[in-house]
Amino acid sequence: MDMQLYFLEVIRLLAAFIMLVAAWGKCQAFALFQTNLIESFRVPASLSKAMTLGIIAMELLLAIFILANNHLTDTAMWMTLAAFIIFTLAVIVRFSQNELVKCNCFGAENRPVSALDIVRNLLMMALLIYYLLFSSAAALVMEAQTLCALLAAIFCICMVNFHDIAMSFNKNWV
Amino acid sequence: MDNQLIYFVLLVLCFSVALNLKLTFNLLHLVRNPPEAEDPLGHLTIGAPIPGISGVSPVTDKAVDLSLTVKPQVLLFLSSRCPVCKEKLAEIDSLLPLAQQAGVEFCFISLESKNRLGAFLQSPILSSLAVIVEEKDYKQLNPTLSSPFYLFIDHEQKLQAGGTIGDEDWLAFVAQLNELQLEEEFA
Repeated sequence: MDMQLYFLEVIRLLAAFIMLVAAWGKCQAFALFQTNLIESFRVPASLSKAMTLGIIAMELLLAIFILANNHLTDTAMWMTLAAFIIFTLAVIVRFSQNELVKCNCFGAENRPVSALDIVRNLLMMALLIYYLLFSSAAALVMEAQTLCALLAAIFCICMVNFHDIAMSFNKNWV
Repeated sequence: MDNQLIYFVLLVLCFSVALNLKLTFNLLHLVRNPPEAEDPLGHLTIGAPIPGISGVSPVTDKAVDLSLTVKPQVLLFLSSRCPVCKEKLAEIDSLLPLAQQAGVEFCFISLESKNRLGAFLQSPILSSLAVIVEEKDYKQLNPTLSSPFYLFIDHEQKLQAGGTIGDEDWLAFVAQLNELQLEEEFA
């Protein structure tokens, strides 16, 4: 069997896990995320709660549809890509205005968004595009799927903590 | 199932373990050698004259030479990016009339753009006290870019004290201003 099938499976699961972690992290830091929408992204305060709930719901739904692996999965992957593009553009716009942007996209990180987060998002987008270009309906056996899920879990942790991992290579990092 | 997949998974696992070990040891190094807190005053010494710098006033757009002032000065380094600075701004606003009575000048030294600074300081009175300087000059006075940070400069341009707004010297200064105010009320 072709390795590409496995890669596609890993990307699919990775996207699902990242969406799950994002939704979970935002639930944990609900108030923080809401404040950041108002302060960093200039969302009107009256809309911020609905928007936070909406984003969490969207991420959860996308994760479920991607995990379901049925005819809706490809659409969900497209929407995930769209969400990544919109979010990254929003961050880049705020970032280029030399503003301090906080996100708390994956929970209560006490740091502003960095260039590394943008690199992470670009990488994720590239993977999603790869998936959308080559996705096929071929099914994997259970064992292979388990291993792919394991890989996706490892990559998910690396992706979510991309900034911290890159920063902690420097021994003087605080 | 493909052997290739198993090899690949093993490879990733090995890599993850290696990465984990490397980062753990980095952390160990950091725990053993905690970074020393930098002295916010840097090379500035108390009693010595401060480097003369100049900047631009955001209100008049004219050049301002800080070394030409003959009054004692309080140089304030606040950033719109630090949440604490916003709270300190209210305190400074209330100190302003007292300082004027005492003959002390306040001056906000900033690196930020005119619009951002104006939005941060809000009142035109505070904006008129601001001076926007180059980063190189800013670092001469505030080498660690800390905020909310202050420097007390006497009438001869010598540094009297410096630190974070709200520290002992700052509180002593505020108390002094309040005393002067009380004395004048008595008189």
